[in-house]
Amino acid sequence: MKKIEGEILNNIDLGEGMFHLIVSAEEIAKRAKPGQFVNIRILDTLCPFIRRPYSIWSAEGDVIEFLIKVSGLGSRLLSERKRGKIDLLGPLGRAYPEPNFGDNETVLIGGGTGIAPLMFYVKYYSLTNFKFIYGAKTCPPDYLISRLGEIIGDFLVSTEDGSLGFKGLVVDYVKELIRDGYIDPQKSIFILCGPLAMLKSFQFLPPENTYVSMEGKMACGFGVCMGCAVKRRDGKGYLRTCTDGTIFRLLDIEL
Amino acid sequence: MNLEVNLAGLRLKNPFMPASGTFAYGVEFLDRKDEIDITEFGAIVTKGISLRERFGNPPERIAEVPCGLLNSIGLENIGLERFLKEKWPLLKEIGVPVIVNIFGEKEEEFEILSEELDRAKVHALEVNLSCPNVDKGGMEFGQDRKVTGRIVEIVKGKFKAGPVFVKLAPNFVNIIEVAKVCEKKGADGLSLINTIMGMAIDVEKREFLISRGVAGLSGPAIHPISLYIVYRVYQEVKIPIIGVGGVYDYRSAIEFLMVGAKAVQIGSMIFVEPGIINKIIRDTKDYMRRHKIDDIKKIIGCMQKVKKGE
Repeated sequence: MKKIEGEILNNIDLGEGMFHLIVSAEEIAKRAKPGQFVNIRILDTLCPFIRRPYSIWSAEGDVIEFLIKVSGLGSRLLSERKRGKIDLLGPLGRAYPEPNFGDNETVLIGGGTGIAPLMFYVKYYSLTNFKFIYGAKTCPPDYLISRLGEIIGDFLVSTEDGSLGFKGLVVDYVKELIRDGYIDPQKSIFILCGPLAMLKSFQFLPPENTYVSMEGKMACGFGVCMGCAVKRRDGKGYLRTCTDGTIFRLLDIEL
Repeated sequence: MNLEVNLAGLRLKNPFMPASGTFAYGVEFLDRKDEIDITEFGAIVTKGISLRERFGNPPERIAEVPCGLLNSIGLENIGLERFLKEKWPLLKEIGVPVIVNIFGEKEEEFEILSEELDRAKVHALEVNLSCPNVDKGGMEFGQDRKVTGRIVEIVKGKFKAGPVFVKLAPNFVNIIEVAKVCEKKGADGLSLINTIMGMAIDVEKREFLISRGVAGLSGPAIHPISLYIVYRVYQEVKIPIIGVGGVYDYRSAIEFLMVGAKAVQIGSMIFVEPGIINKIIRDTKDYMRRHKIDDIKKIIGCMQKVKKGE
């Protein structure tokens, strides 16, 4: 964990309330691994008070990138920051497991901006034996589609309004892909990142081979506030999203 | 330049320390000296320790409000036995006084905690009689002057290794009266204040932002309240006061000293700026240099004198 001042290099409005934040932050960028996050202090004021955690979309050389959707005060203010310094604390959290899954195929399922860390994962490890499924509400901006093509190559999409790809929820799409034999749940490792409701809908997957990224509300991000509790499946209390996760094996937690 | 204070017999090299529950057990930071140097702190205050391990409350436990934070952690902690085995051996080697915060649901739990922590010779206790986030104990104890007095007597009867501080909050109680009872029953000092009970609602979903509904409010939002309480209680008791509540920089920390607090705890701001205590120590030295103050004791209580027109 490093606390540094990064320099905003670009902050691009992607439409659909999403933006692409590009920051020069060498000390974090060179340490960052897929699945980790950065806790950003939006302004040097007391309101908003706490930092906002964002997972890393890309870290290369000195540069770190984020894919963020405006969802509240913090992300709105951040979307408006086009230039200048920004206060970053990171990288935080445990990284995704290194891809060492034998003959198993890795199935990456991202909901909304949840695709960001999954794309980093593919790129960082130059993953080859994988499928990438992107669930969105509506047709994603061209910018995202072309970046997905660039990094992922072939990917599958579902949209809730049917404007691109499968029409419906991504969980229904994956169920169909399993029925069609395109995905074999017994020979796959699933890595999921997205809203809690989406993660909950995927509990039919084999829990020992399914990893989920959690987004518990946290105050610190580095293990002292004990705010971001995730219930352990064995009944022995809670784990912390920030230091025990953010990625957990479904077998270990209750959603 | 002298920042040293004597806090009920504890010699602190400066008055600044973390508030319980915002710094885990302290030892987590031993290998992170570049961001947080705990060896510079005046003291270390641990997360609240109960006799048995506690899992804490279900999420959501945290919600942000303007200039502050609601929390309902529910005193999640590893329990006395593991604390003594896993944390205390590391803590006692740091070379900084360690104040162990304790919490019980029954009087006898306070008794055992005090006895065991006396045996381990921890440097001081802070008795939490004001946590808003558990159903039993905590708040209820602090609200009742008789029970408060009895617990202070019990802890003082068993813990001889160092001073005993009592942490109070202004929730539904006349905190001045409770503070007087603590003093009368032998408390060596007071930590003022714990979080203030509060809540917040998502009106779109008609849901409380904290799963338990009620939570403890901390952060800069409560600083003026805690400052006034320290100011008032100082006028009513002789035992030293540790000011706690919403400190966010050296100015808000010095305010506590000026109304009479002998030490200052920094809480929620640690979440935002992990190195805030080290920064406050540095900035306070700068402040003293700028104002040609050679001894921090010269600031303590100075605004009380203004009130009296001296």
